[in-house]
Parts: sequence; structure tokens; C-alpha cells
Amino acid sequence: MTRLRLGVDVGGTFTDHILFDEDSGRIFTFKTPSTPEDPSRSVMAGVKHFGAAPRGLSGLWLMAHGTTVNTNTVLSRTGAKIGLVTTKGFRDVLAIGRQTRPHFYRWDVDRPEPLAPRHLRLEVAERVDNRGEVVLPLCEEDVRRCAEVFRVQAVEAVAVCLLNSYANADHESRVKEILEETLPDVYLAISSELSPEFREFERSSTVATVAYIGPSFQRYVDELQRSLSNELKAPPQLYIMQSSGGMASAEVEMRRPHYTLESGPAAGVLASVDLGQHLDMSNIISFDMGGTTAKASLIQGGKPSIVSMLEIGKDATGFYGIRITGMPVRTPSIDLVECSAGGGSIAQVDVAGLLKVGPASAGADPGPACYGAGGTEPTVTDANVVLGRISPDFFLGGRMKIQPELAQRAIEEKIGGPLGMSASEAAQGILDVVNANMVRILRVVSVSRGFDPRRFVLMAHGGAGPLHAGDLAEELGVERIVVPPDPGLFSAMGLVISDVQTVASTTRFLPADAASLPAIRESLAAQTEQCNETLSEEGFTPENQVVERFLEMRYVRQNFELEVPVNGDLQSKAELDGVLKAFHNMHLQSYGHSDPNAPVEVVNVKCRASGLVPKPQRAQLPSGGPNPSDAFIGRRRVFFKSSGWLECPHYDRVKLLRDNVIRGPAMVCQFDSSVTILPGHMATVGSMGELVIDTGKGDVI
Amino acid sequence: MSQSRLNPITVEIIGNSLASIADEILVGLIKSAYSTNIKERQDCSSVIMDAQGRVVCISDMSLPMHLSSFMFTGEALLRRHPNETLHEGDVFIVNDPYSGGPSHLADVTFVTPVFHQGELVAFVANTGHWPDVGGKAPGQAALGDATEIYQEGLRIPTVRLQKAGEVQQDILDIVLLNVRDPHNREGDIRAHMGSLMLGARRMKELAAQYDVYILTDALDQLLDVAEVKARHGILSLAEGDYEALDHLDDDMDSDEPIPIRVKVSVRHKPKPSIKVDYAGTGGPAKFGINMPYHGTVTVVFWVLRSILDPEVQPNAGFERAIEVVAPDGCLVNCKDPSPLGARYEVASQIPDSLFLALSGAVKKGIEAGGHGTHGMGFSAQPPNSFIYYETVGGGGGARPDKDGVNGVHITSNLPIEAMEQEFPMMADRLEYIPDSGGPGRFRGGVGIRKDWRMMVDSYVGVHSNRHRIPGPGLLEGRDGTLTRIVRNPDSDIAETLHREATFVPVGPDDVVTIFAGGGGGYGSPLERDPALVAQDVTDGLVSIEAARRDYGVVVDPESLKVDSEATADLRQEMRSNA
Repeated sequence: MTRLRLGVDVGGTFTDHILFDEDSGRIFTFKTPSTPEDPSRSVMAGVKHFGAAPRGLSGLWLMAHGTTVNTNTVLSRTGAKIGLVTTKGFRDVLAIGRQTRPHFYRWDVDRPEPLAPRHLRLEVAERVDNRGEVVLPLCEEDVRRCAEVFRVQAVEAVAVCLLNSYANADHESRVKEILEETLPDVYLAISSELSPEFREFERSSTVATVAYIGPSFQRYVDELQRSLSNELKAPPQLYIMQSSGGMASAEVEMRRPHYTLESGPAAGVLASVDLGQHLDMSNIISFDMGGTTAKASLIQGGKPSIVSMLEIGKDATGFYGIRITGMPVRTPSIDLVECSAGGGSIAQVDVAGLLKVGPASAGADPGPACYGAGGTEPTVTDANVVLGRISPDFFLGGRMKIQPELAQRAIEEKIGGPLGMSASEAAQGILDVVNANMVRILRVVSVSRGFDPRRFVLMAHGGAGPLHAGDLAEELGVERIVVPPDPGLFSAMGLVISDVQTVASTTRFLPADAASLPAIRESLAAQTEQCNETLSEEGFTPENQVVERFLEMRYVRQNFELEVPVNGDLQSKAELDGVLKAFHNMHLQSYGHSDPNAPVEVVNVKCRASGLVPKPQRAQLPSGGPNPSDAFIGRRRVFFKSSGWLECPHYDRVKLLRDNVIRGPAMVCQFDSSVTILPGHMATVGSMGELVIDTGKGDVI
Repeated sequence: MSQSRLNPITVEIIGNSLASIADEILVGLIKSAYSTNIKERQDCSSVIMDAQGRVVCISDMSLPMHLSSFMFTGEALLRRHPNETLHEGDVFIVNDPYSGGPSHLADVTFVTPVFHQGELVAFVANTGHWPDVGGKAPGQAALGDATEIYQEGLRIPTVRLQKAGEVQQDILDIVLLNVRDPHNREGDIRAHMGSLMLGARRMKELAAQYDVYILTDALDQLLDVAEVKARHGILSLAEGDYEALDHLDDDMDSDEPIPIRVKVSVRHKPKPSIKVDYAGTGGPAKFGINMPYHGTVTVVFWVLRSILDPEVQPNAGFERAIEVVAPDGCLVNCKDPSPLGARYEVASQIPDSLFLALSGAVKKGIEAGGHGTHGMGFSAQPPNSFIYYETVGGGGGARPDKDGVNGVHITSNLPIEAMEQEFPMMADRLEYIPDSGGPGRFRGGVGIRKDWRMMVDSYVGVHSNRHRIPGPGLLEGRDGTLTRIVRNPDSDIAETLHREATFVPVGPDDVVTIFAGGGGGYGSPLERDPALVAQDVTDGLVSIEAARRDYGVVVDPESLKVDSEATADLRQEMRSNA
């Protein structure tokens, strides 16, 4: 019996399924509209689809799931009725947050309403100080009084966050015991277990979020597992993708559902890492551009960079997680920079005569003007249609007809007219502006972090990514673009190749000197052990467990840390000096300065561990030689900024064979995406069907 | 407006690039600074200026008040250091408000010229509120009794701290000798300069990507764009003259409130424009609560940007549509050597008075008055020496369609757990104050109570307003509550501190508490939806007694439900008594 793996990514518009045959390396795909009212329906639609096929689903041992269900629960405010237990005097910490307005110039924009209402934020007498010393013992009577209120109020989940519990968890543990005893059916989220790090608002917000999404996530997972059992004789193990780019079993995730908040986008980055490995590329900018948003992430040395906090419901963009305006959630997450612009973004001329694109989007309904579904606002997709980059005959494999004349009219009326430009000039203007937005996020993940984008490969995916990648590469001086075989299904691809991952971390404030080495070693050992335990629980044998260790460090008196990898066991001062040297270098690269003489401290000791899932080989495309003529469809006019309208060949992506070479200008068309190959660029088809585009910038650096 | 010279698409793209460079400068500063004020409270900002020193773009994260750190700084720099004397790698430092710097000494400002192919193309700049700049008492908040700027700290005119890449050790030594906690200030200085170097590098790349003349033209046109947007926004206001009068609590030698009188003239012709005139405003105050002219303009811009177009850059182009006039030597246009350390008190009330004035001009309505501002400073002498400064939020004014924001300030608080790690103090409380929001159809935001418990012998100093004159309600909405600061409240030795108290000694186990005031209400409280009143009662933000007294809503003390009949009767009675 063949072993099968299924990846299912539930996105805002579509649910993508990839079925992976581990023995043959073959891939089967299925795309179906998402069903937001009950997300498990679109998931099961794919299971049924594959189950009905002749090969069936026997042998399916693993299902990897990317889901936005938890983010949606928070954004739509459909989570549990929750209570919060906190230290006496501090019940409003969760509401006050950093006390600022989300937007300095919009006095009508407020901080998000806290997930626990004030009358369910209850206090207990107790206090520990910043060193973990008990200043006031816990009043257990208070805890029982809280439990009684929660019982009467029929609260479904309780979050517990006491001051300084990161330094001493005893009081929180006792609160937990009492609540477990008095409210056995209530879901609990304890801050010292879920986020034992300082800053009380961030910690409270994290546990409140966990409590809020926990019960509904549990129901969702239960429902999904029940459906799988009903549908399949031997249901697969269910794994959920985490924001940090590794899976965890559904059982583990139910205890810490906040790890899944950026589940889908993380999978796309992971797919970039994986494809990069196959192509021997380790420095990659993963770029995902869909209908309403675009996301960029930097992969260096084969590893994405990980941040330790997300914010839900953030109002303002460009704040880089520094000024908190939404609901912060401490959870390891791939560093993604997002902007609200994609194929559906609407272009308009503002009062000062400047051309703006987004953030408003035509969405799926009515969609871009060219869909002929009643949309009259010009979108990025319309601009691509006017410029010939999206061909009416191949859009969504011809399943959906697009009407270029509607795109043309919208752009002429709304943009060309007011700006005194022809439709093609105006359309090119729309692309220029949206591309500038894309370049901005690509620079944020590279230049702003101290990396030169010219030394990175641009991995372009999402429905719109491959259309724009050529122009972006030109702008950034990128030498090579890679377009994966199924760019519209790339996140689902990331799901089937993902390892299982877990993280453990603890706050220690230690001077980074030799005297601290025993304490650092002890902490590292404890965190490592915790990771090993989790992975063993998940069924991984020791030889399939890989633990990476980090110290989060800063100069004494700073408040933001840099994550510095630790190699070796830190047995000697020399090893510590190596880590310190790496810290100074990272600081210089990130912030433009460093001071090797200033004292450095270790704030967090952290481990990230992977349970390795066997990586099957994918099927290889047969070689077709350099000539792509078997895939040739025809010639059509396409507008290029550098050279105007050019007749250029169009190719059918699925008919291309390994080693085929396409010289730009050309377009490669496929089911849910098109690839633009600019004049001067040259694409080669790789062994898995990926297109590697050489932009001719190789001699620049 | 000048003739359009560049493709509007290029202008838009360059505008976006400036915004992202300004962001990067600020991120670099915050992430590598040493002061809690910068790294945690983010009391810092960044801008890009053109080659003439005019502000073109202020970063999204910048504090509105900090525009004053840059507004005239670039031009003043060029007057003092003409173009031909500037070098690549120069970094200027300035903090003196009376010689072309920010609006108080604490906002230390750094400026770097950017060159491309030998030509000056722009300046990048940042500013940060340092916890201490020397002077007679540690930290800005301990300066209530300063009578002239010399007592408020070291005055630095625009001088080079770095010349062509070389740190000017002599200047650095003077600065560090004159501030308390020099080690941390040196860390801040490195963060200020390092982040500007990053920004300068990015600007050079931008200049290289376009030609210098295109970049210069684009910067010019971005000013025009702001002007057009400002004027377009003005068309949405009703023409007319609008007046308002608010008061600052009192002065050092007098309990008499100081009037802030404003007249706003909105004109649609010949070009849409606004004139804001402060004739009749009192002062200058003896307390350091004065505002220099460029600070006043900054706050007016902040308020008008929020009304006219929240996305417009409040730059030198915006300025063309807005005229601000203030008599020389008054509260909102103080002159050397008037003290101005706590100028934010005026800043917190300029919006209230402008909102009050413009309530008739803005069709969709406007926000009621807020709680003012409250700066709390704690410090100790060696061996426990420390300096800690924080602002505390109060209630925002109610809005035409919703309640005011609870517990809000323009700057961030300091996480309690971060404070307890760094300073010998503990917090006993951080909570909302019931019944502090001004009653109204929409309630003013409630204020915050925060308690600090001292662990060593320390001093406390405060800068705080709206202790006598509350945040005004609008359209029958009632005023918010006043602010009080008390040493050892809830005890026999409770003592209310003066709002400008300086150097008040506090010892182990003494508690200092602020009861920050609430915002003004909007509309008649008798028109508030009783269900909302009951919700506030449930949440403990309004007491059952206040529900009855202020809103005419009868709430059952057991079920916390509204007694509809009793409420209708009571409201009827209250209306007829009114």
C-alpha cells in the first residue's frame, strides 16, 4: 500500500488540497471555494474528492492542515465567553494596554475592545516581585470567589495572568489547581505556562486570546476528526501548521491554539525553504501575492527568521510590531511583512492628483471590472488585462471568461481620463504604484534588516506573484527569480513537506559573562529537555529530533533582544565569546552600530526543536531539450514598460518540459497564475517544473 | 501650487520611499536605545527634510508633538551652517527651543545632511525625549518651579556632534558631563546617530536610483500635494469665524486660571485657508508650562490634519494653507528665557479648545475635551540613583457617535514589570476610576488610577494639568473629573500634591497615587441609551448612584437591569427641573 500525505490550506477565498504520494513522488491537487461558515466543509470536500478517485485514500497516514480559523474567531469576535484572573489592583491592564491611540490622526479609531469584559476581569490578593520573591501570599479565598462568579456567569474559558509570574509561577499554578477543581469543564490558559516572559500587557493579551480561541478551536478539531473518522476507515494523524513554520499534532495545538494564528502564510514560506533546498538555494525572499494582500519573508542560510510576537487587529501598517495598536499575542512566528495590496486592489486618483492603489479591494464579489460581475472600479488585475499580461483565453484555465473591454473602460474612465494618459500608460501606472508597494515590503524584510536583496533569490508565488516578480526583480536588482510549479497552491505544498516543531523559552536576566555560564547551561538543558519531551510525545525517536538553541541578548539597559544561535555546549568562556561576537555583528547589521565594550545580558534562553518527517522525493519531469515549442500556444501583444507593445509568445505551463528555455519577452500561462518573462530575462524549466528566471543582473555585484 | 513637473506616479512612489526610510530610522532608534522613555515608551520621532531644511515627510510612528522638533530646525541649521560648510557624515545635535530646535530641552534632536555626488539632497533627522538633560533637578518632571529655561537643563544650539564621520569628542564630553546618568545617554546617542546613518544610506540609494533633480522635484511636489489636500479638506468645513475659551489651571504665584483664547477663521476664498489666532491668550506663565510658537503650530497642525485629512503630511506645504498667529510673549508663543519644560500641558489643551471652537464647523461633529496630560517623575540620589519619567492616561473626550476613549495618552505607559526590573519601585494599582467620565449621551472616557510604592528614599516631581479646570463637555455633555495626585492616599497622612510639585521627598513604603481625570461628555446624559448606562454599571465604570443622579437611569442593584418605568419617570422629572 502506498503512503499518502494530504496538505489542506484553507484560505480566504479558496481551500487548496495537495495529495502527495510518498512512493511515486506524484502530486494531485484540488481547489475548492472556502466555506467560512463551517471551514471543515471545504476541507472535507477535498477528502471526499480524493477518496472518490480510483486510487482512493487508503494509505493516508498524515493530514497537515493550514487554517485561519483562529484568526477569524478573534477578528469576527465569535470566540468563547472568557474570564480573567489577575493580581489585585490590575484588572484593567488588559484594557489599558500601552494607553495609546492606535492612530494619532484618527481620533475615532479606538484600541480593540478587550476579549474579557471588565465585569469578568477579577482580582485576587497576591503579589510577587520582579525577582520572584513572594511579597503577599495568594489569597485562595479570592480565587474561589472568582470561580463562583465564573460559574454563575457560565464562562467557557479562563485566562490567568498574575504580575511577575514569569519570575515565579507558584501562585498561578495554585490558581490553576483551584480552578481545575472548581470549574472542571472550563478551558484554562495560564500565563506562566504559555508565555513566561516579562511585560504584563503582552502576557495578559496572549492568555486572553488563547482562552478566547481555545474552546472553539477544540470544537473545530473535534468536528474535523469526527468527519475524518466517518469518511475514512483509518483516519490519518491530524497535524496543524504553526505560525513558526512547523507542524504540531492537533492534540498539542489544542493546548496552545495561538501557535496557529499565521498558519497559512507560514506554510508558503516553508515551501520556499523546501524548494530552495532542492535547488541548492539558501538565501531566498519568499514573496506571496494574492487577491487582497501580499506577504514577504526573508530566508537566510535556508532558515526563515522568527519573531516572538504577533498582533491581531492591527489598524496601522508600517509599525513593525513596535508600537502596539492591536492585540499582541506572544507566539513564535515567521517574520512576515504584509501589505494590503493584491490583484483585486482598487486604483484611484486622489484629490491631489496622485495615483493610489489599495487598500480597498474589489474582493471576490464583484471582483475586478474585467470579471463582468458588476465591478466598475479599476483593479490591478484589470491593469494586467489591459497590458495583455493576463490573457482572456487562459484565465483560470478558461473556466472563467474575462472581458478586456470592461477593464479598458474602467481604467480609461477612472485613471486615464483624470491623469491625461492613455489606457496603457494608466495601466502601467497602476502596476508601477502597486509594484512600489511590493518593493517596499520586500525592502523591509531585506534592506531594513541589513540584507542586500541582490544576494537573494526571489521566490514568487500566490496567484499574482509570478505576474509581478519580473518587475520587482528589476527594481531590486535581483539576479534570479524562481516560480514554483503550482504557485497558486504553494502554501498547501508547504504543508505536505513540513516537519513537526516545538519551542521552549524562559526569561533569565543574566550578565553575558563567564560567571553566568553554569546558569545558562542549566537553562539550555531544561529547555532542551522540554522540547525533547514534547517531540517524544509526538512519537519521534531521539535520532529524528533536532534541537536548535538560542540566547536572546541585548546591551544592558536596552529592551529589545536579538536572537543569537548557540553552537556547542558553552563549556568555555571562548565559546561564549563566540556568541557575543555574533551578537555585536548582528547589532551592527540590524541597527547600524555596535559597541563591543558595552555590557551585554542574556534575557531569554530558548530552544527550537524539529521532529523530522521523512522527505519523499518528488517526481522528475522528463527532459525536453531547450526548445519549448511543444508548449507554444500563440502570440499576443503584451505591454512592457521598457519597450512598449511587443508581440510575444505564450506558453502553456503544464506542457513545458525540463530544460526548456524561454527567452523574454514571453508569457507562461497556467490554471490560476501567469508568469511574466520580461525582455532580457530568460527562463529555464527545472526538474520539478519550476521556472528559474535569470534577469541578466548577475554581473551587477 | 507650482506647475506639475513630474509624473504623479513617480511622486507617489518617492513619497512611499520617504515614508519607509523615516520608519526605518525610528525602528533603529527604538530598538537600540537605552532610555525606557525611548525603548519602551517610544517618545521619539523621525523625519525626512529637503535640501532647504523643510520637513517633507514625518514617519507614521512619530508623535504629533514632535513635528516641533523639526519644523524650523532644518532652516535654522542652514542659517547657522550654510550649505557649503556641510559634509557627508556630519551629525548635528540641538535641543534649544529658542535657537531653532525642538519645543523643550528634553527632546534632543539629531540631524544629518545627505549628499549624492557631492550635492546636498536632503536631511534625515530624529528626536527623542531624554529622561534627563541636566538642570536643577533630575528628569524633566521635577522642574515645576523653574522660572527660566537655564534652570531646565543644558541648552545645546545646533552644533556638530560628528564631523565628516568623526565624533566630536569635545562636544560629546560637554553633553555627557551635564546630564545625569551619562552612560545611558551615551547609549541613546549611539542609537540616535546609528539610525540616522542607516537612514542617510537609504536616502543616498534613493538619490542614486533617480537623478538628483528628479528627487528634488519630487520632494517639492510632495509639499504641493500636502497643500492641495489641506485646502481640499478645508472645503469640507463651513466658512465662518469660530471662537473658544479654555483655561489652564493656575500659575506659580496665582490661583487665577490662565486663559487660552482662540479664534479660528475658515475661508473658502480666494483659496481655502484657515487662520488660527490666539489673541487674548494669557501668560507667559511663571511655571514651565509655556509653549514656543513652533510648538503651538505643531499642535494646531496635528488637530487640523486629523480633521482635514488624516493621511496628509503636515509638512511645509500643509503650512501654506494654515496661518497661526499668537501675540509675542504669551502662553502659546513664549520667548527666551521663559521656562517651557512642561509645555505639553498647553499641547494637551490646544486640541480641546480647537475642538470646542470647530464643533460648529465640522459637519460630522467633533470630540469633547480631554483630561490634559500628567507627567510623573521619580528619582533618587546616589547610591540608589535612578531617573524615571512616565505619562499617565486619562479619559478622552466623548465623540458624536461613541464614548470617549478610556485611559488614553498620546505617549505609551511603561510596563509595570519593566519598571520593577529597572527602578526601585513597585506598582500597587493600575485601574480605571469609576464615575470619572463626563456624563453625556456619549460618556467621556474614564481616567486612570495608578499607585507607585517607593522602596528607597526618592523624590517625586510632577507636571500635570486639569487639576482645577476639567475637560469640557460638548452640547450639554458634562465635564470630566479633575486630576489629583496624592501622597499616601487612603491613610491618615494623605497629602494632595501640587500639580507642579518639585522634589517632594518620599521614602520606603510611601505611596504616590495619581487619579487622572476623565474626558468631557457629548450630548445630554438624559439621552443616553439606558442599556449603555446599565452596561457601564455592570462593568463598574459608572456607579448605581451616578446612573440615577447623572443619567436619570434607575438600575436594579441585584439584577443590574434597567427599571424602564422608573427611568422614564425620573428622566421626565429631571428634564422639567432643568
